[in-house]
Amino acid sequence: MRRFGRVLSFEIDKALRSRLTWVTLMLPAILTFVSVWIGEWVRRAEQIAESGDVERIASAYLGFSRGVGNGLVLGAIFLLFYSSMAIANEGNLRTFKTILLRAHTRLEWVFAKFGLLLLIGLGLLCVVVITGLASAALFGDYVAIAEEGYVFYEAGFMADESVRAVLLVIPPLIALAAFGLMVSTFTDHTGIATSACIGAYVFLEALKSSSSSARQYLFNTFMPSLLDTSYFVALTGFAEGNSDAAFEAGWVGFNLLTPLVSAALFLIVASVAFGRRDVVV
Amino acid sequence: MTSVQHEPEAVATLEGVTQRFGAFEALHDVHLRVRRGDVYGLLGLNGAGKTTALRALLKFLKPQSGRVSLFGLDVTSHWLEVAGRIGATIEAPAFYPNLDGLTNLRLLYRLAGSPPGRTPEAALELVGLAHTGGVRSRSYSQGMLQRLYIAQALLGAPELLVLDEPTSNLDPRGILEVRKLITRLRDQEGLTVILSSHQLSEVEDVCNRVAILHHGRRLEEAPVEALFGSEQRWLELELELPEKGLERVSRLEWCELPSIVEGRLRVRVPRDRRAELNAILVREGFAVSELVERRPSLEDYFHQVTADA
Repeated sequence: MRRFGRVLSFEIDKALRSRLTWVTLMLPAILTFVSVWIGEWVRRAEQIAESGDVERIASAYLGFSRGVGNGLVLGAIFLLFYSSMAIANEGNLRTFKTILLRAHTRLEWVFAKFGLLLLIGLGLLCVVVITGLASAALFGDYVAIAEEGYVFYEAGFMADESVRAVLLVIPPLIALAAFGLMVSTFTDHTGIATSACIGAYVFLEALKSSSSSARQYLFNTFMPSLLDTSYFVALTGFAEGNSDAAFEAGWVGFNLLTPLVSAALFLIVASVAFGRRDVVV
Repeated sequence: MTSVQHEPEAVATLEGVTQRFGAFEALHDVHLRVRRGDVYGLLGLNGAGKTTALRALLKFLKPQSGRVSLFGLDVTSHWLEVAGRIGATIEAPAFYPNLDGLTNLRLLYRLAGSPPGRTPEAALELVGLAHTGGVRSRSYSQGMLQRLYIAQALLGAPELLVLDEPTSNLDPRGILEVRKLITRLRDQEGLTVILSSHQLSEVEDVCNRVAILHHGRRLEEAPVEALFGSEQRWLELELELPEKGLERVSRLEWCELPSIVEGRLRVRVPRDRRAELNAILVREGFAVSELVERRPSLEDYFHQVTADA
């Protein structure tokens, strides 16, 4: 365990000194803020266009759900990009021949790299959510979803659903990191690794759109993405006053199970592939 | 009373190692044995299999057949026990370019568990980079990177140092310093060193034993002196009439293998009779305009061995 701790600490040290880490964390946060900001101005513009006759929903939950949903789309792509570099970049820099000389197993390396990716993924989620919360609060209060005096959803309900939406992103985030890591173990070229990951991302999006309800078996189905089928769609639906947007309980189960099983499979493949490969010097 | 001579402990061994990359056989049934305290030269032309042998030794690849051990333990099954006892450079230097030299070393040092012995600062000092430790490694020259690479191999207290062509990219002064450093590490710290090189002079300067690899096969493993010592050297003489000189020299029984190569008389003569040979030739009217000692090149050695085979 101490050996694993040393490898993980090495990875964290290295990541904290890398510009890519900060870009991965900050750009999705910036997009979140911009998204909330633009959404609010569009809402106000629409209200002015309708001569102020209609009192539109002004709860901060609307800005939060849209902003965080959009921020996580970019976050997912960045996390995939980051994880695809995890092992391929060591091959690219030829640094394996330096680090693998130390007394650690390759399994420890795979799991330490994965551990770092989890931290980056959770950090990304935290940064985006905090940015979303703060920036939506700039334009309104976290109050009930109401229009023309009619309350669709109470603030407490929205708070619970927001927490659920955020928590349900964690399993696919883990799977995404594991997927990128797995791809990364197959090549020493960062270009190939990132292209493969982004290619897979686009392919999975296409698959999502064409596979109807079977898409719940895809590990990234419940991650906010270009074709968003995550719980944030449901959350935005609530925030807009729609009443029938929630996931069924079975889908929530799939959201939890499918990505975690996928992540475990990806990690097994990554461990075997990395354990068997020769080190190019 | 009888005295028993103990064979020094084998620090690194390759036994019958064969490694293929597709149809290409990089190593064929290679046996190497490095004893404690050796400065062991692994000599061969480019592509001879030196780096592949070192990769097998450092568990960077798993040979198709054969056994590789360090400190008597199989590297595949006992890597965690032996890794902390070795330091190595293999092929070109590799570091994180966005980090400075000292940070690169500190990270590697902590990764190894901050072992007792040489600290990153001390290692930098030893290779003459103390003043540039704060510079990003991407700004280092090739020579500086090579020194930094040697420094990382010296972190802690390695018992075995594996250096793959450590003087490549170094200027003449750097080459001299590295050679001195290797000798000093052996003499003062008792390190065992494996030095791969394609330069005969380098191996002659610092090694006591040598193995010669050629096309993935070990041609020889012996003390350096036995392969490239004074007994193996010859004299090259520039004469006005080399053919006549050859005829005369051939009659001297202590002159071996006389021949004419590129218009110069070449002969193997014991060191203590070289002056005598010169005196004979001068006395008999041969105008000797140059007399130099030549040592066999690696190519000469290969020609000789393959011709013998």
